[in-house]
Amino acid sequence: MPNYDRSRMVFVTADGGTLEGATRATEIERSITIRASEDELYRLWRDPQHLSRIMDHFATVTAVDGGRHYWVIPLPIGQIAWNTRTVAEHPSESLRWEPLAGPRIFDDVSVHFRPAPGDRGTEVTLRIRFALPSGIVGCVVMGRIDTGLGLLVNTVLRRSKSLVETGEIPTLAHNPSARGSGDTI
Amino acid sequence: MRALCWNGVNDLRVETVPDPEITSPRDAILRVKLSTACGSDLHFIDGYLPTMREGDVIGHEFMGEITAVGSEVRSVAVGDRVVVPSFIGCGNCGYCQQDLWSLCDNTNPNAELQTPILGYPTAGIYGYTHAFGGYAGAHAGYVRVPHAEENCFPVPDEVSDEQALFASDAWATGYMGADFCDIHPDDVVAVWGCGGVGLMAQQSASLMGAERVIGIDRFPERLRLAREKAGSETIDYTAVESVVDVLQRMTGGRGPDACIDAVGMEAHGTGIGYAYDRVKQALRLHTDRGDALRQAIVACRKGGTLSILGVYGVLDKFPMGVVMNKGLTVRTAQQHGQRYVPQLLDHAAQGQMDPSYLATHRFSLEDAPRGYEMFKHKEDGCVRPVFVP
Repeated sequence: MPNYDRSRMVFVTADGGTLEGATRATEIERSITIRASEDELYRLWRDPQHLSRIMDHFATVTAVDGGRHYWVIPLPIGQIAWNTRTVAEHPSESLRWEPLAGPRIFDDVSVHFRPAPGDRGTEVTLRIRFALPSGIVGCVVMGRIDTGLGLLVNTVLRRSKSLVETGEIPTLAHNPSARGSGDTI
Repeated sequence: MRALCWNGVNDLRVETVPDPEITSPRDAILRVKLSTACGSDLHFIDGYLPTMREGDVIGHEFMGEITAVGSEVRSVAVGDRVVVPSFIGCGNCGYCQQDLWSLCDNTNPNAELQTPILGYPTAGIYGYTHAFGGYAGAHAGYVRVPHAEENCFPVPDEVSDEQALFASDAWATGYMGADFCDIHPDDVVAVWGCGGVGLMAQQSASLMGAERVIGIDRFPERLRLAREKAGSETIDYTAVESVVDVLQRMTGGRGPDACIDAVGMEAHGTGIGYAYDRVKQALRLHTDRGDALRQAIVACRKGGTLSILGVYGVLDKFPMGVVMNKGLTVRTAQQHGQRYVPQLLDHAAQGQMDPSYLATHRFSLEDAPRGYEMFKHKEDGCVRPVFVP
């Protein structure tokens, strides 16, 4: 069994059990510093519109009721959609989106805020635990796609930072080229 | 609109592409009046920088007139004649706030293409690979300028279009390179390269009070410009055994107080180091030919400043032991244009410095591929071709 343990990108077993038969998950953690207060960021990250804008490249998030959110990730064929319950145990410090029953791609999502030194703003740490295939196959697959997941989490944080600091996310929409208009990779 | 597009290594064509649009309330659209080629464009034209895509509109040094602004743009308006630095700043991140504009955190839409190599992304730039943002360039009828209030600088009436054009990049870069040297009145400053950036660095070093400035190149017409326009002494490196020896002789054995590299990854040279780089680059074993940079490191006096303006990839054979044992201070950056442009426009308005002599040749945009050919091969004394859409 490959031992997959890199700093900041580790395999964890969802139920703490042995590898055989256990649901495997990969937890990705990334941080960014944003020039805004913890309170402002906490408020924004509770807003499904902010979540949808910063995850626009792969997911939509809508409010249902009573702190529940509905997550949709389009796939090449169909989509995966599930509900989460927002857990706010530490206002202004962290938020967690706990999945309710059913298929999903994220087992758990949490965001943590702490003051950055000086006037740099707030250090924002995003942790996403992905629900992914189990066993050796899952391990090999994850070894291949972990970089992609890391980039995905990084991109979410970068988009949030740009939106908070400048009011917009940098875009190549309608970017002229001889390939036509619109130029995202 | 018509635009100069990259279609592969050494394949530039003028094509019809869609016009840019306002995509954010902070955008402006410029009608390009003048644009120019930069030596750093040659690196991706020659295939040494990755992440170009066929059909990319190139060009990052330009000025023009604002034809449209987004709803939140207040400080500049339609009809303004403006110059725009090549790197795009947001004005609000920690780096922009510290006047380190080319390090902006918020203007590179393709940040994740850069982070595996750089660790952290740079600002976006117009027309200069997708890793550096992928924004359409300015060798075109029109260009979209994000964050217009931070990036559009109105040009005073007494400053000509050509003077303003070079404030966009070549002048700002050269000026920054001289500024990095913290020049004292009795300093000797040596500059490798007498192209647009090198000439601007030399002239700026003089303006900042250097006692002597020495320009190094191999093209007689560029060395002549260094002497006549920048007031430099010059060395033709192909005519001497060792540039380092000549610089030592010229400085009483001390070496220049500051050395500026205005050459970059496609340096030419004459010795065994150049032959080594050439072979390794041809075999794609590394991206850079670093002969000029290594000369500058060895030539610089102990405790001196090495100011690097040349663009590099992931150069190997960088003599760190020489830098360390000589106690050199290394300062380098892509240009922080927004920090310098107001000063440069003021210098031009006051008649203290005039960069317009760099514009040795003028072409219509339709003839831009020919302009790049002349520029690349330094035909007819071409220092900078200027394109008029």
